[in-house]
Amino acid sequence: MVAFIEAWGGGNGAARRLSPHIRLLCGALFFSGATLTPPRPAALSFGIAAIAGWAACCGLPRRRLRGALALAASLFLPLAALAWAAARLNGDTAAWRVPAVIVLRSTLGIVAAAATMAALDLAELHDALAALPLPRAVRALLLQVAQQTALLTDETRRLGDALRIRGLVSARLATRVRGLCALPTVWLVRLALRAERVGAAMEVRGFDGGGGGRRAAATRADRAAVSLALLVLGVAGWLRWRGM
Amino acid sequence: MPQGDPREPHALWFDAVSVRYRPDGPEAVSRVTFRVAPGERVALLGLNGCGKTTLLTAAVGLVPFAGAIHVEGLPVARDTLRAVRDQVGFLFGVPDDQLLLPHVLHDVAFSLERRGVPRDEARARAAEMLAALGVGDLAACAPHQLSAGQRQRVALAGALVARPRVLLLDEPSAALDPVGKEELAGLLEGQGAALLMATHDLAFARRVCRRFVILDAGRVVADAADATCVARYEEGRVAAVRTRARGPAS
Repeated sequence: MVAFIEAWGGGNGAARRLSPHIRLLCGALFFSGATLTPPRPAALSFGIAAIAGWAACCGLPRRRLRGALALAASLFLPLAALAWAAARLNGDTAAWRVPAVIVLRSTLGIVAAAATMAALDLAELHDALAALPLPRAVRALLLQVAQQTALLTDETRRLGDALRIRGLVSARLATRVRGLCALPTVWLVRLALRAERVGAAMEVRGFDGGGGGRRAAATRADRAAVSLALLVLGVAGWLRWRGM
Repeated sequence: MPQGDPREPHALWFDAVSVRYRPDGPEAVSRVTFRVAPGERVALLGLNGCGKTTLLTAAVGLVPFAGAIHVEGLPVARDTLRAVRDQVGFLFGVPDDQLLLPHVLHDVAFSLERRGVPRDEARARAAEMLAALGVGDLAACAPHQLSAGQRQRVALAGALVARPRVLLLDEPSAALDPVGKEELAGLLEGQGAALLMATHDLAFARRVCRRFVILDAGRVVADAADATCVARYEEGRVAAVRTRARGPAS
């Protein structure tokens, strides 16, 4: 299992030579391309090759790739299994296509996202978002989602440590059940109170997603990467449109 | 209308300030009145739940209040909040809450950038402030990688870097080691800003402040410029605990 915090940075592929905002932009374009891939042989091959290429460029560590695939499996295999079983029962194999498409595109999208996160340190996210032409509110939201998730992951770990130290893990079954049932309430209340306090801090500090990096002049590598990513997106769209 | 002479210079002015968190609930702060002069350093003391944090958050318009609060001559009101907050360096009781960016240097520099300081200058000044607080080598880290004390120092850096005219600090020394406390004390003295600091750290309060306002159940019970009131407050608090521990005389 790879925690959210650990999913950032650590990739040492060619994509590291790109500006942070270009890495983010290319990742978004590859992700979008993944969502367009139809489940036909030619398109499938193209989609898998494109995402694999992006993952290699980002230097996605194998552990993280396995983690991304495991996440996709845990999220989508039950859906796929259910749909397949229903299709078999009804004798309508074509009905399994839609869930298969969802599983395929989602898996490719998750791998694309994991690769992009590996190529970008969490600390670079602010500059990356600031250099893209995004509305301030969107920038603020994305930054806070990443920042607070990182801090909450840490806090959740401490909560888990407290449960272990206080003996919940080794307690009698009834006590464990009671404690675990109460946990979501405790955690969600902390989450809500934290959100309120962070909102107050954003107000007091005047944070609205502004500030941050100037967009550095695009290098040749940046332009080439964006062109390639746009091409991939274009081809994926064309394949989808042409029904190939 | 506020009492007292409004022409008298003040950095902070609480005038009969009361706060209720619920319309039918008790007052968390009740008719608190005192001023902080420009450059004056005041410690706000009191037991848990006496209203220290409530008073600080009211001063930046985070909670509704009755009465009047003025910050550098500006009344704290809905249409002046931005201007008021520009004058203030605020430290929250939980420093994690105010670390808004996933990069330490960027987070501290943000306090300057939002005040119009160019990015490069803001980051240079942020780096200096982090170094002054002993965490200069953590400038490139993400906040979640830091210990509680390190996050506290980063949050303090964010509050101090813009050299605001008023500092409102909630338990600034809570997670600091003795070296960190000494570094912070030196910085606070050097800043020259008016300071209102809520704290349980009486030694730190005596080190930094020259005036002590004590709250009890939301009311001001002492406001003195010498440390004897702090000593009496400390002795009284400890004596009360010992009395409770001994129980009623048989």
